[in-house]
Amino acid sequence: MAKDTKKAAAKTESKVGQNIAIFWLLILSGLGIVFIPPTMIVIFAGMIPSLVAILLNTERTGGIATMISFNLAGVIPVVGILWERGQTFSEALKILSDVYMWLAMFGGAGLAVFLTWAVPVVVFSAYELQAKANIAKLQKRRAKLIEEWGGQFVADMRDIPKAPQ
Amino acid sequence: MSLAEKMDMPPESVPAGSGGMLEGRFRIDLSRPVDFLQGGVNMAVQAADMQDPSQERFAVVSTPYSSYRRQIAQLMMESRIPGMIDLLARGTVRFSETDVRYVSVFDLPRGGRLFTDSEGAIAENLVLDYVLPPVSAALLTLHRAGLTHRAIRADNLFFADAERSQVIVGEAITTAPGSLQPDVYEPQESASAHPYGRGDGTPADDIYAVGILMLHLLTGRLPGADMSADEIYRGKLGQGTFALLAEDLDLSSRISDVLAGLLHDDPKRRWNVETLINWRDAIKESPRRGRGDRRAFSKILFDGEEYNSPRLLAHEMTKRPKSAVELLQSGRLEKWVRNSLRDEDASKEISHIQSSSAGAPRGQKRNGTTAVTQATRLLDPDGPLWYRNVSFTRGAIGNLMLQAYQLDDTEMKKSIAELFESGLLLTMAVSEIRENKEKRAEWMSESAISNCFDYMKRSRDLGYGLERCLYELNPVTPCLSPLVLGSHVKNVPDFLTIAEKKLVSANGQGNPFDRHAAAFIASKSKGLDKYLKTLSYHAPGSVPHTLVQLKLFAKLQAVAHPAPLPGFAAWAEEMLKPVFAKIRSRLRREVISQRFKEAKKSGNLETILTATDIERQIAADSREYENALATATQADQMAAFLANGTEHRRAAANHYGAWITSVLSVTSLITSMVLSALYFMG
Repeated sequence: MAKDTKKAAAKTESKVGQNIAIFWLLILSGLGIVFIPPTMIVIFAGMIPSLVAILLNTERTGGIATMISFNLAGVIPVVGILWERGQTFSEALKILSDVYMWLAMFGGAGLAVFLTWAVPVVVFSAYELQAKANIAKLQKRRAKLIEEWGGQFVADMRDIPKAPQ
Repeated sequence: MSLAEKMDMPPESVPAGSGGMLEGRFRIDLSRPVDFLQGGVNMAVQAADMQDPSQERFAVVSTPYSSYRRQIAQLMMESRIPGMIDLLARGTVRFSETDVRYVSVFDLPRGGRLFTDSEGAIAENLVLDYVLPPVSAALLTLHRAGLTHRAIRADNLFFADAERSQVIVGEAITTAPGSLQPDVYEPQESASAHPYGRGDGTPADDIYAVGILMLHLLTGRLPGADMSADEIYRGKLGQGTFALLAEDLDLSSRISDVLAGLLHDDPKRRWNVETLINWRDAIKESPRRGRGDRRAFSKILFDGEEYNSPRLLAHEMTKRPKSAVELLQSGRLEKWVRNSLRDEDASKEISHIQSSSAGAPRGQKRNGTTAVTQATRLLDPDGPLWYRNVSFTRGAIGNLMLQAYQLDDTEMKKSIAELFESGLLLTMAVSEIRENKEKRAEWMSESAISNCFDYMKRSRDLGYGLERCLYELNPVTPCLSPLVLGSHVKNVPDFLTIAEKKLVSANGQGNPFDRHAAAFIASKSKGLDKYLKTLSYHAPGSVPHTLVQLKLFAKLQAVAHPAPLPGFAAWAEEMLKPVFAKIRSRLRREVISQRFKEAKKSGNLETILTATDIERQIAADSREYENALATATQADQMAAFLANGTEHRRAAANHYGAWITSVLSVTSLITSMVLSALYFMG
């Protein structure tokens, strides 16, 4: 009961944090649309994967943050190019019509998706290997003890009450 | 004999089948028995005198259960007893590696037996002139030395020479005193005792036997041969011995007078050996005839029959103890003793016994028997002690025990054990030894009985019980353990030597510490009490029990037999097999077994114990086993936890993977920002 209350409290806290972030995001976006509209066009276009991820709401906050980070890491050089060429709508559209620019922006998002999927798999595999190695080690140790102490040892082991796992 | 005593080691090997040599002089030939000298359980065989082959000798080969009358033998060895067969040598003779027997060598009576039933009566003058002088001469020497013969009987008289001119009395040392005497030869005091419980008796018993012997020789038949032992006893008590056996015979007056003097029923009025030697003077005044037991003023009814002889009543009470208990509890016996026997002291004691037995719960048979034992002792204070199925004179319980063991008579052993265990014998002994100086000589020492009482308290323990009493009361009895029986083991070094040979031949199979061996070793050694006590605390077959036995023999070896004992080492191996099996660690077991094998080669039990260090190893093994068990259980639980923890690991991997990707993403964002800034602004 107390656990559930704590979880609910944490959820509420997180939602409040999210709302504050969205609030600031909207403020910054509004200011961006007013003062640097070509840049905002590129950013909005480049951040589509992140927006989709937010809309899908997979409840994996870490995953969304990773997606946003990688996505943004891909968008920032494109925005840099836009700013280098002069921040105009035509340059923005030119950039958006360049497939490599899309590749750079969506590539970051793609990498984020890949890493979000691949890293836990790799870590799990490592964990499994480690567990198997430990089990083998323990079994070897047990076999050695049985060899040392004989058949009665196995019977006596069975008689010992098992501790709760 | 203590452990510290000098070792008396027998020679290592004797060629099988060569016969045995005693003192390097007498060759004992077991295959040539001397028929006319056979009697009892011992065996009489021919013996060759290697120093003087012209002399004829015979040897009596004792069984392990035979009593041996050392004092008479000692006297016979020290000086020749006139009128008695000559004892030339005695000692153990080795017939094979493990066949050792106790042998006594005598001069062979060449003329054979003086009397056989088939030859008929011997003339009066021959009896008086040829038989009586050597018999009385032999008795004179013995009685003056404070000893008795207790084997004066017709078939124990021999002609010393081939010409049959010199009569001698046969030996009396290789059997229990009086054990081979026909019942009629026994006076009233010992007639109702078990043959092996008749005891050394008094010189008067020998004199009585001489009287019966004379009757036997003069009539040519055993006196009272047509009567049962009970009829003879009752007749002797009722009429007196002379009246029963001699009065109706056609005898000369001088013989009648001699017999009256010899067969008087009161030992105090009976002739002594000096009177016997001077019988011609003694019969000048015709001796008074004995008239059996003392008579009470009135009779007492017991089990449908009236009695006025207290001794006869006591005898009948022992035959029907249930009725005897009823008689006691009715109070009639106490009144009869007080009023008719005029014995106030006995009456008071019977009253006390009566009240004690009346207070005992019903069905306690032992209490009733005890009461009858005490009451019969008061009625017949000079007679044998009775208890259940045993009857014996004061100092003869040791011989009786030997007989019980020889016959393996469980009931007899049980009765003797009860006598010691209940304290009844001790109570009677203490009372008689302290109150009656005459009785003191008849009893064995008070301390011996007291010790036996203590041994019986721990009768179930090895080294105690009836077997211990047997060896304490019969100090010359060899060890009767089945392992060494027949090897005349008389001390601990002998025991170790013989047991070693038996164990070697049986490859360690055998028990050198059975009840007999334990009791024998305990009675011959000092300082073993701590081992015996420890043994009693542990169940047979347990590890401590086994180890204590090994330690005990290790000590015995160190003190009494320092040479290697490979047979005992093999026995130790057999004993330690189950102990080794109790060591759970295979590695430790192998190591200890290896150490044992190495130590076994030394044949030294102490080395074996030190090398194997069993006690410490078993303790360490037990401790380590518990630790290993805990470790294995923990490992098992851990393995199970790991095997079932896939989901947990998956969750952890997801969590850790998310963290890694987050770190990577932040790193890549920062890197992108920094590089873009450097590139585009720089």
